[in-house]
Amino acid sequence: MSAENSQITRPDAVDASCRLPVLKLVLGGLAWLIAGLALLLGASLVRQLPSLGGCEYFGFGKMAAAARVALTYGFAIQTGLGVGVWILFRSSSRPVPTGLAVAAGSVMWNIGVATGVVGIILGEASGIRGLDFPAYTGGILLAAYFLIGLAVLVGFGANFRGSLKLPQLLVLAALLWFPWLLTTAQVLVFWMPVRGILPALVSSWYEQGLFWGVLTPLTLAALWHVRSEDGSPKLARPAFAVLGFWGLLLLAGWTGATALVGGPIPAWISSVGVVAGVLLIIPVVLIGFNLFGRISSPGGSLAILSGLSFVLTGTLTAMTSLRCANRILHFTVFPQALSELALLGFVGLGLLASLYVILPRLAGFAWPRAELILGHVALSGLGLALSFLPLLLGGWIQGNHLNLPQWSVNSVNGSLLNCLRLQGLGLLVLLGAQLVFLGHWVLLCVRHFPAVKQFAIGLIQEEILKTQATVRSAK
Amino acid sequence: MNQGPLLFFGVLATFSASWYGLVVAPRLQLGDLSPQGSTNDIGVVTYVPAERAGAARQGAEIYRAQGCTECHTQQVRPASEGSDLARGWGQRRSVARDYVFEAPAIPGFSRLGPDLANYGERLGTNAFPLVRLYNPRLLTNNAASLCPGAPYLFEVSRTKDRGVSPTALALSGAAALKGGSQLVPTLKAEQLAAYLVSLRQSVELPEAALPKKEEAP
Repeated sequence: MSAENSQITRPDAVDASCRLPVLKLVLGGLAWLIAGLALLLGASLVRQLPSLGGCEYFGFGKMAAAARVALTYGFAIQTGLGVGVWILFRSSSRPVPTGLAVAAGSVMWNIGVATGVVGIILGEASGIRGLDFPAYTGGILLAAYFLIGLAVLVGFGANFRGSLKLPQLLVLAALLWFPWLLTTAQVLVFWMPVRGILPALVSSWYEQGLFWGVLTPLTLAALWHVRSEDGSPKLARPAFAVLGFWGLLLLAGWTGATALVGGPIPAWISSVGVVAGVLLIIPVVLIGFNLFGRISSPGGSLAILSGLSFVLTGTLTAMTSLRCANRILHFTVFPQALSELALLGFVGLGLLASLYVILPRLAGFAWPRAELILGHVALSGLGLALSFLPLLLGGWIQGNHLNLPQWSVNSVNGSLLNCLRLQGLGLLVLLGAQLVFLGHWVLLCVRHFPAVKQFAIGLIQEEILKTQATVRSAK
Repeated sequence: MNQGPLLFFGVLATFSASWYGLVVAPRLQLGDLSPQGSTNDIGVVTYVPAERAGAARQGAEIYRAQGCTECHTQQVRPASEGSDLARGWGQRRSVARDYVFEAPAIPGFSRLGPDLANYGERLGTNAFPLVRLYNPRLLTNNAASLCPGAPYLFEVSRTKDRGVSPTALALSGAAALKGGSQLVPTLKAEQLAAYLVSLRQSVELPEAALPKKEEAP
């Protein structure tokens, strides 16, 4: 047996070492998914029935911004990191040596997200899209991320030998992109703020970079790793996948300029945004070749829906970058539809699909009820379609009417109202779907309560012993 | 093969490219923008745009905190990009210099409400209708507005306790308060109103000229 192989650990031992950090990140993420969807639903209700918006803390503007923070930072990034940790260590068959540090970072991350959401509700929002939270939240998130990211990178680098697999490559790229992105945005927007229109440029660069450079690689890694775990057929075109990944990274930040086309920025920035947005179709198509096909895991249908959402997001982003489309769709609810499709459809469903494989492995028990899985998948698909398609159509109607000066803004909104109502219904269904998923997980834990309790106690004891040993060896 | 360095430098290069292009280069181009000064006949130098002061500056914070930016933009696009000019939302397109004193500028991303870049301009000499903040649907021809209003920026007081306030809202019909009560805007409401009134971009700039007025025959 070679030295390299001698370090390989059995899968159940790797899973055991992943339990605390991954469960901490993933379950925290699921809680924020429910909270974020509830806030988004609340915002949608207030938007349709403005008489409900008389409460200081629950106006449309505050709830929409709080929902963005809860869903992006609380759910998507946190769950993505949890899934990423599992992928890194599980696919290299090495245990996580720094699980306690990752779990501690996760606690700090959740505190950061909570301060952000509560801060926005209490009236301390920054008003900058993508970085809506108060300045102090960014500091907490950054500190928490450095704890998580460093612990993962150090733990992975210390034991890893051999060559990286594609999902690992994607996770590591995301782990490197994110701190640079967040630090730059944090410094330029909050700590040493640039004035004038520049923060708007920084925030759109940050927002697009976060989606295409961090959340997309993490979700793609989740989707592709799940295939190798459950014995599904391998990727159809692995070379395309690698090319597409580098293409995405190359264009990720540049697409930020599309949000400001026609705005008060130099013309060359708008042009760069248009070119980057249109070119995005290339990596999206290259990656799209590898997103479909049979997946054996229970959440396989979610993975397909997620892949479909990715291709649609990329295609629509490329199309709306064109000036002729941008002229109609800019400032309408269409970009909101696109953000929901990207965040809830592609990232959300993709990560949830991977959790159908990861959670039973970590818990040591299979999902108890097949009909609940079916219910979750069906409701998620229906909720996504209901929340996305009406906004897409509504955005088109709104844009065309806004371009006719004889239409007052109130009349334009009147023509949009039915679409907003359907979107609210879609969000309700989507929230219901995630409650089914959470309920299913609770059912799994309740059914095996004695074992789960034993396992939780053992987990904490094991982590304490591991930390003591690390401290002793360091001394 | 050790792919670590390749990955690290690949990620660094892709990140740095867009960072330089969309953060550093615009900073180099726009970072030193200053207001445009002009001297009048008696030698007084005036600068446009003017820096916002006092209550209006405080009002900008309230505007941000209330999340108004979720429905209102503050940027007028050129005629080739939409109907902003035709709607009378401004006399010329917005340019970066319009925002030099904003910290930070909030150009916005959604138009469920009208653009506000020149809201103060549109008011003209009229006073800001504070009832718009209390409940926009009470305004004439605005019953279908989706704007939620902010009644929490007002307080009800009894005229016999505090006297009649000069800023109390004159409500009528179903919205009228019982006799002896009045609805008085809080300081926050007045600051927000001052900010909205201060929103004006219709000044001549070297890169954005105002349309020439047609001379009378």
